[in-house]
Amino acid sequence: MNQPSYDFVAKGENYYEFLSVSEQKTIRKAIAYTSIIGQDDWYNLSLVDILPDGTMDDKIVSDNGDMEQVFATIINTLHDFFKKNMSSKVFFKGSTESRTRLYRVIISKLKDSSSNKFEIWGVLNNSAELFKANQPYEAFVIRLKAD
Amino acid sequence: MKTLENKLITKKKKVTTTGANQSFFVQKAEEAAAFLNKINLPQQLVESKS
Repeated sequence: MNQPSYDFVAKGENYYEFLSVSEQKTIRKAIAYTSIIGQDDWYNLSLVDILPDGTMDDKIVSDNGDMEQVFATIINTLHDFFKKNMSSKVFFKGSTESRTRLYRVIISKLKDSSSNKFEIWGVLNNSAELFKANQPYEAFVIRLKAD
Repeated sequence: MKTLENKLITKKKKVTTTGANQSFFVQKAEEAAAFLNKINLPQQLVESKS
């Protein structure tokens, strides 16, 4: 993928950290893939800021001007995650409606570069369909395409 | 600058999230489960790929 992204480090199982850097600030961020109980092979993707006291916050507005770069980093961790969890499905939605809208826009932009490897679904009105641009999806599911 | 900053965390440490943070992510997974339970998932997504 040509989109600029951040280097990340895998810490523990299905957990990654990286630094979001701008001229104004540096923010420690984490991406976690957590098994969803009762859904075989399904994982929830969380993107959070790690606050100075070590707690996690997925609603904070970082406003670091690098959301596309952050999202490209998520895509890179997906590649790493799927190496170990090839048949899994990754569910994610924004922690707020505005964040979900932002994800939707970014997925539309990144889809072409990711579509060779990933199958992306959008969830709308309690049903899922293969991702199409300009649909007001509420959540997303990503898995590896079949060979 | 970005590369330099990121080098600060490229030394791999074998650590896991703390108990408190694990609870945070488990709670998020539970919210996801509640959301998924309301969705009509197509058979294609329910079936595991081999």
